[in-house]
Amino acid sequence: MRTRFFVNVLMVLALLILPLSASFGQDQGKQAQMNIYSLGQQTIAVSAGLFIPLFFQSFDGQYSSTTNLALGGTATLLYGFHLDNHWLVGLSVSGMFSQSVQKNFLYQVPICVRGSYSFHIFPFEIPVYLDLGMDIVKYREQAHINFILKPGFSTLWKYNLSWGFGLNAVYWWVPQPWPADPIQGRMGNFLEITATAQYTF
Amino acid sequence: MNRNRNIVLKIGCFLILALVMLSCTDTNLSPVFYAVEHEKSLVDDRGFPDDAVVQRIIQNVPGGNYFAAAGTLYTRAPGGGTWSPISAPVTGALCTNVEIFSGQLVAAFLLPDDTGALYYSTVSPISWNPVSGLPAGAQIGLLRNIGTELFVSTLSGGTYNLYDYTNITIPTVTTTNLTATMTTGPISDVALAGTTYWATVGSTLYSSADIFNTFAADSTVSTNGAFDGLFLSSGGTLYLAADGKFYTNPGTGWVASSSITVEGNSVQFTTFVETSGLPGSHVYAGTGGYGYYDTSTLERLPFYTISALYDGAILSMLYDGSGATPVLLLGTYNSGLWRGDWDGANWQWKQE
Repeated sequence: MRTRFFVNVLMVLALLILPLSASFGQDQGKQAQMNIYSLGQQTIAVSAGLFIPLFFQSFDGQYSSTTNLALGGTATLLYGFHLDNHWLVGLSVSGMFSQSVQKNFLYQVPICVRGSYSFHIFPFEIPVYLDLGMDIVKYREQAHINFILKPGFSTLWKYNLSWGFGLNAVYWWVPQPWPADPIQGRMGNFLEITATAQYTF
Repeated sequence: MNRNRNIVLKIGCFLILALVMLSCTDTNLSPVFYAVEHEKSLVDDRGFPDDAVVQRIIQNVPGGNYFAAAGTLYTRAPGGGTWSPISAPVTGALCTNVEIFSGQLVAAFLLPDDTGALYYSTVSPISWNPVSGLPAGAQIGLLRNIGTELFVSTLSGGTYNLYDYTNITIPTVTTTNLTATMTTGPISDVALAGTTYWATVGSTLYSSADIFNTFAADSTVSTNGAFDGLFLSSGGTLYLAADGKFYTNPGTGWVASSSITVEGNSVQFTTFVETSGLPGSHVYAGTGGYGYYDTSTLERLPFYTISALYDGAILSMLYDGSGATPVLLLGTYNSGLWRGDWDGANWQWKQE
């Protein structure tokens, strides 16, 4: 069951990088001339899709056999500011939900700053990024604000200079230490697979 | 100068964030990921209606059948099986309370014309007979078996009464109407501690050294709100709840606990139950919307992930320690009946 789950995740990731491998066969010289973004341009992106709970890990390295969370949903709004053709800094706000085995909903709202570097392989664009910030976690009566780290990448098809569409794969790492009883501390590990539309102006 | 101002601003922002974080985090509860990881699927395995209002849950004798008054009167064997409805003596009557007295099943019913009736029957088979000695049509409130006496509170013609039965199975029974001085409201609970009878009516506590004498108001415990429950533990300590506090009286006088609040609201307690051999004994108190509390540790229970109980109104509680696995049954308002199976360390909750 667990193996099949990870095989499915790997297949999705493989689909995400297909455009990258396909583009390697294209004219490298043409790609080198691509210059889409410049300093001062801004991008807004909206993403929505699946939230996949992977595993919890204690701070002494033990992995949980289950997260007790079902496949959930997530959405992200990104505002970015281009520094040059490759680099972008921005702010992302996400939200997710997932249901536990007792039918309770877990919610997380990460608010992060983003640093991103884009590879341009016409007509595709592959931004690789790292979000870090705070994650508001809410479950029943309990709420926390945790640190969150979200490394990820996207494959975007540039419809034109303004619009791009594609898929995101983002890993969520949420450490939740618990000084009052360190045994109860956990690191949440999740995967976001979302479709995205971005507009640059 | 500007640099110092920026540093102060950053420290201020950090402190605000830290305060927000502290205000969001309840250190009395387990952290979220840990709580989710340790959740277990809730099983619904006994066929009881999941949205029922369970006014009372009782057991015939230790190891005997359970009976639950939830509009319909239900019963099941303690070892397993599913709940079966018991037909009411009058078509359309709702069962509002149930008790065992002298080996007889005693059940209160609200009839379709809004009058009340009290019936008794052998535990098995069921064969209903009306209990005599009450005003015709009186609505039945409290049913409480105290040793050799059955207390029945009634509402009839706008008057509240409390009756004391020593026998219900003969056509003409002897009752004692105890309410000469207790007419201000419904009698919410009755207990016998030693040779002293105690009763609560609204915010007044009554006591009587002899059941045939008049109850007198006891002013040693004063409360702003109504008393919520009265219970005698096996160790002889009397428990009372009011205004979000427990009062205990081991026979030497009343002692109040610290005030128990949730988000600034006083917790209203509804009923008590005592467990034994878990190890040790615990007295749990059900609440009107915050699960139940251990009266010794003042811990709110159960684990907060079980929302139907943690935020539930507990109307009735029953402990059955007669089987290999001790069982705690909680009757709720609108969330049916829940069973906790003791696994040696914790209650494992299932919806009946």
